Amino acid sequence: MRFLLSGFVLFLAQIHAQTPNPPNIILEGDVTDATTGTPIAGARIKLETFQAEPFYAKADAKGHFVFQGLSATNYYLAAESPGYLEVTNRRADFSARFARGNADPNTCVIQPGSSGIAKTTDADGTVHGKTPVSLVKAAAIAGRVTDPDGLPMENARIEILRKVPAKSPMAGPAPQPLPDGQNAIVYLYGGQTNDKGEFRSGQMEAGAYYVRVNSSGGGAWDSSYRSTYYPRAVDLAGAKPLEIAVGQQARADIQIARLAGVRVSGRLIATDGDVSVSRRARITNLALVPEDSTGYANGPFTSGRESYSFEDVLPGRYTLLAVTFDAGGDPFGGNRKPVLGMKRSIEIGDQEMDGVDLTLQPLADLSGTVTFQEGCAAVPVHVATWPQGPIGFGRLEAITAPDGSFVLPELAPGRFRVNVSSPGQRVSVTSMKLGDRDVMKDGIDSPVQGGEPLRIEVGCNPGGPR
Amino acid sequence: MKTFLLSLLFAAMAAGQTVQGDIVNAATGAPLAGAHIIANVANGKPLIVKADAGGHFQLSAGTGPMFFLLIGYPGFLPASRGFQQSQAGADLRIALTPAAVIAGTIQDEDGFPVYQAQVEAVRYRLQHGRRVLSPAASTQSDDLGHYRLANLPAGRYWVRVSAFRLANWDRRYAPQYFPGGLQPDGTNRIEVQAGQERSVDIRMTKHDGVTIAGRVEMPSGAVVSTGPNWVELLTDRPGGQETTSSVPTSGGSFVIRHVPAGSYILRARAAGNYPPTTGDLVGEQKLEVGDADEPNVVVAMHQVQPVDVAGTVVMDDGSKPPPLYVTARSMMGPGVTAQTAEDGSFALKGLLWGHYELATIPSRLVDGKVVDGSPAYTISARLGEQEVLETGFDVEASSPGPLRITMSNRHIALTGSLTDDFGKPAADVTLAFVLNGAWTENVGNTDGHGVIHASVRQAGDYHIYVVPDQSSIDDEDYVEQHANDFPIIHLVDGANAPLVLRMPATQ
Repeated sequence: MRFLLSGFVLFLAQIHAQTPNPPNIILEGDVTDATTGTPIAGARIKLETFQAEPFYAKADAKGHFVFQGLSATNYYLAAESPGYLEVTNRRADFSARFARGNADPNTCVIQPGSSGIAKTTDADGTVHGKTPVSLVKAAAIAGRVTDPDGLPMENARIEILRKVPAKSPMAGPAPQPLPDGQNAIVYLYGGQTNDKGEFRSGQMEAGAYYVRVNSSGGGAWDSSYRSTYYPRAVDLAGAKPLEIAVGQQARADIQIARLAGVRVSGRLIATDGDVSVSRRARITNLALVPEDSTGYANGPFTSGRESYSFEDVLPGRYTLLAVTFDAGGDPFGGNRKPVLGMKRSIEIGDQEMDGVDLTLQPLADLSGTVTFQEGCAAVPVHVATWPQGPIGFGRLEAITAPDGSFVLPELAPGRFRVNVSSPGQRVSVTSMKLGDRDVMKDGIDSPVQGGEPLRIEVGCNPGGPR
Repeated sequence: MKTFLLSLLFAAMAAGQTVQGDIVNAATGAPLAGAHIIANVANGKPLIVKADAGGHFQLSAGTGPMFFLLIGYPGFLPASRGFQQSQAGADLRIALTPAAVIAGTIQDEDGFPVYQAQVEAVRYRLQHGRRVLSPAASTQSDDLGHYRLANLPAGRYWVRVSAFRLANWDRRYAPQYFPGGLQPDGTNRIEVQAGQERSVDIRMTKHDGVTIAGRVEMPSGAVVSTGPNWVELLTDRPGGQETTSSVPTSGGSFVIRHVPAGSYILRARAAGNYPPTTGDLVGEQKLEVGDADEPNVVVAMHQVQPVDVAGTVVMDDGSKPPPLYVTARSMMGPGVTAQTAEDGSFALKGLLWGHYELATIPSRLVDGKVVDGSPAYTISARLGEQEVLETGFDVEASSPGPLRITMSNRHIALTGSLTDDFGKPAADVTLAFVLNGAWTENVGNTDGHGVIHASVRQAGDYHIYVVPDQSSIDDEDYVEQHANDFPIIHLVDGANAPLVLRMPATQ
């Protein structure tokens, strides 16, 4: 009997050991200035799971904060204070899944930054986690834009471009190179000037930045006004980057440059049987792209029906692109179909160039095939083009046939990237060739010469969902 | 409608002709050196010139006919002017009114500056007989919480703040009106005079609201993608929808917290294209939120399929309808246009799921150019028993048609003269003729000699207003203040006596 009783007590003790009460979890920390290490009193901190109400805390005079009554789950921490860059999405994982997967059950991790924190457990089962939170002071660029006559320029477009090493991850997969060849620029901010010509870009990290003022479309932006970089340059070569330290408030006043150029004009001629382009409800969009364009220094745009005209074009070598849209079936609905196009190189000097007639050709289809690497299921994939040129002509899409073939209909002139995706499985392009040329990195130049097919090879991730 | 009437009233200036004038400050009469004048030119780029040191400008319509001018100067309300052939070579005097500004700083309950808040100066406008809250200016606050609402006509405005970034921190910061209420009321409007800059600092407050929870119900047999579905909560009010929350579903369930009372649309969509296209799964339902939680909302999804909407155009007097384009414009895509046949029938093909606004365009294509056709205008569009001309219509799983569009050719031409308070001809003045009690306005103007050119569409009693800028006739304050500037006129079908109008001394 005693044996039975002691066995029952042992059984109860095992049950108690296997199903403990949920632990009380506490997370605390100190918010400090990342540069000086001084506490940031009044900073606020949020801990959330996205499924329930967030927890909020405020740092005391010593920058200290405490969250109590947390659950054994995965949290995300955010912190902010005026004048500092916000910290978001730092993972604070207290979940059972984390504890199982961790070699040391007394350690949990707040990511990123691999800031491991010691986790201690009291005799009553309370779990204590602790994390430092350091905030970086935010920098800002403010300034005023005036027109060439010195009046405030309202509704001008302001662009902040960050200078980064061309080979750094920040430059992205298709960096826009700077003339030095070593660095690239990354678009950071776009805004507009107010009625006094003023602008301000805040919440910025320390770094080197170019500031450019541009037309926001319409308004009083004359064709002789030029996109102007701080302090007063019409191209990146003459621009001066602002080197901004942590927390610095920099100023960039810009007066828009005015440079008269020449007119380039002519007739638009179709080759599809119409006497002129205008016999149907057609509109042709045209762009002049400097051949040394970095992608941030596009030339002027215009449009026309029977003829076109670019005003105030500066001397240089350009690519002239034109696409004709047919709106006959839907002149007001916006469903305009690209039907004709052309692309040519043009040298522009210091004399007016009238009579530059353009002959527009019917757009050609681009056909190709998608093949899968060994071990991948050959599923239908979605093939889509994305314009890389200065004039976006919409996106073409196709789904591959059972044999992997596809046709992208009526590809407009310009440069395009081709994206491949599949709703069924994760796919990644391993090779993309047009004839013998590798077009994976630089994209496709259209019109494609010789009707060469596009051959795409993709790999897969059989284990994971898309 | 105003644009349409202007295009009827103003002939284009012929190529080779010139126009000149002076730009002055309406408050002081001082010249505005450097003011810009943009001339819209047919078939070409707009011409831009600047006023000289004396505020004088001259334009030559060298490349093609000019239609109208847009005039601007920093800190002043922009103005526009149309042309008549008789004005060629005449001197125009264009007075720009100093603009008002509302500026200040936005903070939250902790005293933190509110960054990237959308700030609007709003007021009710009367659109198609409905009071619609519309922004007169909008801007975004900077990292210091500073905002500046510029280019405001004098008047009374509510200041509305939608702090999406702050709401992402704490959902209780709902869009609100200075000084913190969730609805505009009569006590908290900000009044600004022409040229005045008013400082309005805003402290945003938290509002608990209620919780909306429920699930998304898939149609049977639907192939559901592996990605999450999304549920959006949009405000449903005249004048437009605004997304207030967007949450992913978890196991088909969703929870949206801190929703203020009001009328909403709950929209669910499966992972896929946006806007949804053929084959995508969507669902939508209206929701009235009060002061209690809504714990069991079910949003039924269905698969988007293109539908056709057939219809007919008829004239109110039984005559043959003119050739028309009928356009269904979508908020989420380019829309669809159909051309009417000889008998007035048409078919809008391939409409996808969504809300559409209807427009009729009495035009034709001649040699590839759109040519204005009949002066007929639309007075009704019925979809079954429902009138949809002003409200638009929804397309879901099946065709909601047929559409019956009724048009009219009736116009009553008006002539006469307008003089200023000194008895001199009032040139280039825009006038609005508002049908008593109907809030249907018709716009006319005077030419360079103060002669009135206008037309209205139906007989009745009309109030007449001088329209200093495009928005003033939609501003209920302006309408109230100026209701008695001119005597009410009674117009009949057919010929009416010429109007003899004298502007009040305050104009």
